[in-house]
Amino acid sequence: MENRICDLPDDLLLLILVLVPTKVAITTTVLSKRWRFVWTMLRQLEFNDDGSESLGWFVDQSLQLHKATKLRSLVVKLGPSCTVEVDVRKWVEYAINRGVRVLDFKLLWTAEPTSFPKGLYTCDTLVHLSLSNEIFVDVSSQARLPSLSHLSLLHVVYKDEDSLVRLLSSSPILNLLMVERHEEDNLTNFTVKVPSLQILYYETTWRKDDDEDDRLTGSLVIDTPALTEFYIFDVWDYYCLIENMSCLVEACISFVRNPDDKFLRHLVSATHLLLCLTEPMVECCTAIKFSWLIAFYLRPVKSVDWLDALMFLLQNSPKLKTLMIKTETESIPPSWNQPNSIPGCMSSNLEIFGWVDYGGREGEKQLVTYILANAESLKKVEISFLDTSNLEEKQKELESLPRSSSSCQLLFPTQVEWRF
Amino acid sequence: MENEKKMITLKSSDDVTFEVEEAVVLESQFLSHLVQDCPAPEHKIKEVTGKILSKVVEYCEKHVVVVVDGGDSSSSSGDDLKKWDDKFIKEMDLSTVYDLIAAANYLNIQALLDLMCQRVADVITACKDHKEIRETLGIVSDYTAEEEAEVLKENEWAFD
Repeated sequence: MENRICDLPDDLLLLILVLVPTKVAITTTVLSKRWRFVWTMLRQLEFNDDGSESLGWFVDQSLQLHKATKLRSLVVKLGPSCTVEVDVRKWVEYAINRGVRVLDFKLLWTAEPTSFPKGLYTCDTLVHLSLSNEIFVDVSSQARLPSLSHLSLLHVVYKDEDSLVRLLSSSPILNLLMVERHEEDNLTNFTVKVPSLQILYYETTWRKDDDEDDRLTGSLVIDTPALTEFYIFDVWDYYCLIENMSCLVEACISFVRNPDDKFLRHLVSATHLLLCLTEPMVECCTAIKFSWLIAFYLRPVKSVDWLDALMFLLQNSPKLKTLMIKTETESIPPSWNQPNSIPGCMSSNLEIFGWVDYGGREGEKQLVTYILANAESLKKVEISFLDTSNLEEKQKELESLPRSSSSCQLLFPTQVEWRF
Repeated sequence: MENEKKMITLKSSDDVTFEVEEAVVLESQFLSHLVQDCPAPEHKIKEVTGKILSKVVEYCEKHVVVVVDGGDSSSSSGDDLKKWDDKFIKEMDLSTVYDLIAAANYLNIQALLDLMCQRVADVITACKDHKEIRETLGIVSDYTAEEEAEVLKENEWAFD
C-alpha cells in the first residue's frame, strides 16, 4: 500500500499547512477526520484582503476555533469592502496572550482609526510590529518592548508626539524603522532618537493640494548614532535635522525639501550615496569631504544649477569609483565652469560613469567631454538619451570625443540601471 | 587529498548499503551526531528504506558538492542548485515526497524537509477546492454524509 499523507504526524502536517494560505489551510478541516483539527494548531495565521465583505467575520471565526497555545505570527489585512462590525482589538489581545512574535495589521477599511490594546506596547515577545492605515497609535509611559527589532508605522495616526517618543524609546534593541506619513497624522515634530537603530526608511506622501501658502511646518529630527542605511523621501517642508549618523554606509536621499545646513555633513561616512540635490544643499557641497564614497548617484531637481556642486563633490570624493547622473526633462541648462584642477578620483579610481536621460545641452556636453578626457581608469560609460531623435548622430558625436582611458567602453543602452 | 576523504557506510532498514563521504553525512544533524558518538564504519538506519535513503543520499551529495565548489556559494551555483532541486522534486511522486518528509525530519535535514513540505503545500494551494485536494493527495473522507455536512456548516465562512 502506498504511503499516505495522513500517516504523517501532526507536526509535519503543520509544517506543510504553514506554507499554504491560511484560508486554504482552514478548508482542510473537511478533508477527513484526520484533518479535522490539524489547522487549529497552526502558529502562523495570515488573513489578506480578498475583496470580500466577510473577511472580518472569517478572522473572528478562525480565532474562535483556533487552539494552539502559542501564536508566532498574526497578519491581518482588511480591505475597503470589509465590514467594520468586528473587533480587531480582540484579535490583537488574542495574539498578545499567545506570545506573538510577529504582528502585522493593515486596516484599509472605512472605520475610524482604532487604538490597539495597551498590552500591545508591553508585549515582551514581540519582535516585528507593523501597523498600517486606520490605526491610532496611543502609547502610554508604561510601554516596554524589549524584543522589538523591526517596526513599521505606515500611514497611521498618532495620538500625540509623546506617543511616538514613548514607542521608540521603549524599544531598546530596535534595528529597523520604516515610516510612511500622511498629512493628517497629528504630528508636527517627528523625532527618531534610537541608539540601536541601523536601518531607517522615512517617507512622506505628496499632499493632495500643494498650496504654496498652506505648507506644512514642523520638523524631522534624526538622532541615530548606529545607523548604517538611511532612505528618505520627504516632500514636505519640514525642517530636516540630523543629530548623529556617524556609522552610515548607504544613503538614499531621494528628496529632502528643507534640510538643515549640516544635513549633508552627516552623510560623509557613506560609501554609497544617492542624492537628490535640492537648492539648499548646493551651497553646502563646497566644503564637505566624502572620504569613503565609492558610488555616487546624483539626481538634481529641475531648478538647480548643479554642475559646480558636482565638481566640488568630485574634488572631495577621492575614492569614487562609480558616478551616475539622472537629469529631468525641463531642468534648467546647467552652466559649466572649467575646474582649476582635475579631481583626484578621476586620475585613479573612477571606473564607471553613467547618465540617465542625457539631454546633450552645452554644459552637459562639457561635463561628458571633461570626464572622458580626464578619467584615466574609466572602464565603462553608459548613456541613455532624453530625446531619442537623431540618435545615431548624437551617439557618433559622443563616440568621437577623446578618451584618456584606452580600455573605456562607451555604451548607449535604452535604459541605464539606476541603483547601487 | 582525494584519498584522505573519510567514507562512511549507511545501511537502510531493508539492508541496502550506501557508501558516502563524511561530508555528505554531515548534511544531516542526526547522522553527524551518530557518526561522532559512534565511530563505527557502518550505520544502520532502521527507520528509512533503501528507496528513500537513495534519494536522501542523492540530495545530500548534490548539496555538498555545490557548496564546496562554489566556495562562499556564489549566486550562479545557488541558481544551479535551485534548478536541480526543482527537477529533483518534479520527478518524484507524492508518495515518495511523504516518505522523504518523514525521513528528512527523522534525519534532521532542514533544507530537504523544507523543500518537500513546499512541494506538498504548492500542490494543495493549486487545488480549487477541498474535493480536488482530496483527489490529488489521495485522501479518503471518513466522514459520513451527515458529519461532513455538519463540518461544512460549522466552517461555512471558510468555504465561500
